[in-house]
Amino acid sequence: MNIVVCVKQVPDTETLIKVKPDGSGIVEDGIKWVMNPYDEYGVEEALKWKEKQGGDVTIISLGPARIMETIRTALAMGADKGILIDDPSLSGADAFTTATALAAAIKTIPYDVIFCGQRAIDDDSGQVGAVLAELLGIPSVTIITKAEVADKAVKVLRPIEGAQLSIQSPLPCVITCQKGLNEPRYASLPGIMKAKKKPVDIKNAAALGITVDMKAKVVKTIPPPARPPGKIIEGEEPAQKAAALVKLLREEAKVI
Amino acid sequence: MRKGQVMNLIKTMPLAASPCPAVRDPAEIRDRHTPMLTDESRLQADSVKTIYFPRSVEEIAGAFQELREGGMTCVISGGRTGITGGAVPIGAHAVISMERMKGISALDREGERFFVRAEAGVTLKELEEELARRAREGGPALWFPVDPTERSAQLGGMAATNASGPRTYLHGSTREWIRGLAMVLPDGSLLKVRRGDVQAEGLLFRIAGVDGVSRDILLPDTAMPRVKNAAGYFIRPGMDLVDLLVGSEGTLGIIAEIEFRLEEKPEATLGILIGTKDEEAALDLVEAARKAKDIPLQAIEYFDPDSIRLLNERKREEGNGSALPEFPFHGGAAVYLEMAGPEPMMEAAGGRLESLLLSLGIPADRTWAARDERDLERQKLFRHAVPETVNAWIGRRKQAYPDLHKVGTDFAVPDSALRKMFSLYRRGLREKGLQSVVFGHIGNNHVHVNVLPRNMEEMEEAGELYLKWAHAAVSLGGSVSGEHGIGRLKKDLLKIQHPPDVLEAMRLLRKAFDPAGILAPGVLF
Ligand SMILES: Cc1cc2nc3c(=O)[nH]c(=O)nc-3n(C[C@H](O)[C@H](O)[C@H](O)COP(=O)(O)OP(=O)(O)OC[C@H]3O[C@@H](n4cnc5c(N)ncnc54)[C@H](O)[C@@H]3O)c2cc1C
Repeated sequence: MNIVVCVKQVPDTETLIKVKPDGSGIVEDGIKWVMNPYDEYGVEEALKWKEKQGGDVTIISLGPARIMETIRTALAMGADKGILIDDPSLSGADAFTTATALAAAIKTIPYDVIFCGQRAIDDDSGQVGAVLAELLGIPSVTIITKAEVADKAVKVLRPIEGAQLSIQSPLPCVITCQKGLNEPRYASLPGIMKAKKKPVDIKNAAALGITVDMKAKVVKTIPPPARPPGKIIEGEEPAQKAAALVKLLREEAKVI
Repeated sequence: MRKGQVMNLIKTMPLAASPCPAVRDPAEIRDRHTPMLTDESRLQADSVKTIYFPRSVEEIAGAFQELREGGMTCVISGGRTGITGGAVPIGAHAVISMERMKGISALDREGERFFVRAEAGVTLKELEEELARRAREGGPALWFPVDPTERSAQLGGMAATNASGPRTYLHGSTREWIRGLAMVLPDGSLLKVRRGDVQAEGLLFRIAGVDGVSRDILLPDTAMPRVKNAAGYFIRPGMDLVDLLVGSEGTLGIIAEIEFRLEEKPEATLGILIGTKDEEAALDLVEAARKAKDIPLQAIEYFDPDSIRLLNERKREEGNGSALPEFPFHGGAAVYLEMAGPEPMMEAAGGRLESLLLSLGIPADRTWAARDERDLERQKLFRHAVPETVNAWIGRRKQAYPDLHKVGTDFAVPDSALRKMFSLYRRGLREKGLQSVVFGHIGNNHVHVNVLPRNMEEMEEAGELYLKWAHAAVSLGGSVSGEHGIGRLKKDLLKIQHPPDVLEAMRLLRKAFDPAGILAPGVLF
């Protein structure tokens, strides 16, 4: 089985994000880059399928040279090879452009299933998986917490409000992964040692034969408003302080 | 003795004392400065008359002047992360807090070597952040590899306790990274010394006071255990004065500024957590890893099966929201190995480690390897969770038995005594039927045996075992304190480490620096 996983490199959630003064994006200096956590579920699911069905796992990512680290992380977990799409014209790509580039790269290799994260935690757009499926002309099943292969089809679970949908889709298809699907594994020592020797193809826009056609553009990045300062309730007696707290919760915060 | 080059005379300079900012209002001390009355040992002082916040050596001298004139005593307060209570002002009139001394000098470059001077109140975290900031601005990427886990420790506190950590296995303790320091003595004078300036003539130093009188300081004639050691003063014939001041636990003077050596940060780090089937297999791995000189390890840490069980329990209790990484192997013990260096070296050494594990019959899938920052951070979270969880466990027991506390060892022994010490630990714990968690710096034969007493009887039994182990560690050529120091809590152990005449000589040595007995009453002895 030929399994493809699309991964994105994103700032770690622990990183303090600073917006550039001109609002054109975020300051990248000092950011710790990690694999999008939802993509980690994709990598893990791919490895599980491979262990059951045999086959190989290809990791595809789009971004500047630093994303090689993220591809290597997936290779260290056990994926077999990688494709890195790096082209200055693709920087700041919207969901459509990203999906176009990924689709072009995926068309160059055989594939039976494609895993994506259900969304990336940086821009939260949540579109790439579905658009990618459209461009490839295959079905997509999104936000999945369980996936099982049966013959040439896959059975998945998709949680919705108060219930779960059980869906069956033919293969190939795109599956976007949700928390709960699995526990991503840690890399082993041999995994890390082998990762350095696994092949990673580097491709640019011309090699993939794509022209950039952005459908959406980030006009401005604005930091959230600063949080108002906290209030310390002064007083000697706990009962007195509690009364003051109740008063504030009712009259100022209006939560009780 | 190279007469005329190196002197054994300790010379100090008078300082122009200036008034030191201080808080004296009892209500303000009670309401705003309660943390100053305790530290991580959880010892607690009732109150103090004064808390000084010096910003310069002159203000430290000012504080000392007041203390001398008032016939008062003080303790020095750093980050208060110490676990033996040295910074707790029990029986002292005042606290001198170093938290406002925060200067960090520009980098000094001598050929391939780098040095930086930092004031004592700079925390380890602040130093690291400043080094990272300078590296981002185009400076060299440098580090100070000694990592005592707790990043809010101050550099002065680290120097005063000769702190060490997992990487001490390769990089030594804080002492090895200090080139020189400035110390304000209780007579209000400044002692500025660099390595090589002042060395003992045999066992003899002389100290010239500001009163112009010079006194002999005869060091005790004793051999230091040849292991990681933070028990009492460091003594060696012909020793450098810097080595005596480092590790003096706030009893000789106030360390005001420290000159550290820094090294270029390694290009890559590889952390490997290895699951072994039991403790025996872990000890085999540790000994084999130590022997494999072609694998440049900088840390070898141990987690016994009980540590792993404790963490798994906590993870289960915390449920879905737990930030604790999953322990990836079922059962057994774990050994953490870490190496750092240029990529090609990591490549080669990683391969050799793979074959070493293979030769010990440890399956490849029982390794968790990390090379990027986040995975290393995850492993660290896991490692640090062990002592944290132990403390939380004790905290819960305390609700039933308020006087109950942790009984945790800090003994270090020579390589040859590693197994002997482990069998003593295990036999004692088994015979008394005590619960425990054993983890720590096994590369330096320095693990922390934490007994988890369920009631006061068990705590007493643990206390007896503890003293028995201390005697054993010393008779095996070890130290009663590998890293935590003696402070207030381990004075009984210092008596096991050294005979009375050695302790007496140490007392005299202390008196030569602090004749009026102003500093740290009740600390060390
Ligand atoms: C979770 C945890 C893990 C730890 N792990 C380790 C470890 O692995 N290795 C290790 O070595 N330690 C460890 N420690 C202990 C502690 O972090 C170190 O001892 C640290 O070096 C103390 O620094 P501090 O600034 O907090 O000193 P404090 O606790 O404030 O003081 C310690 C002693 O030094 C004296 N002192 C402080 N500043 C000065 C100064 N400027 N001049 C003279 N004397 C001074 C004090 O009077 C006191 O006697 C750990 C502590 C915690 C809480």
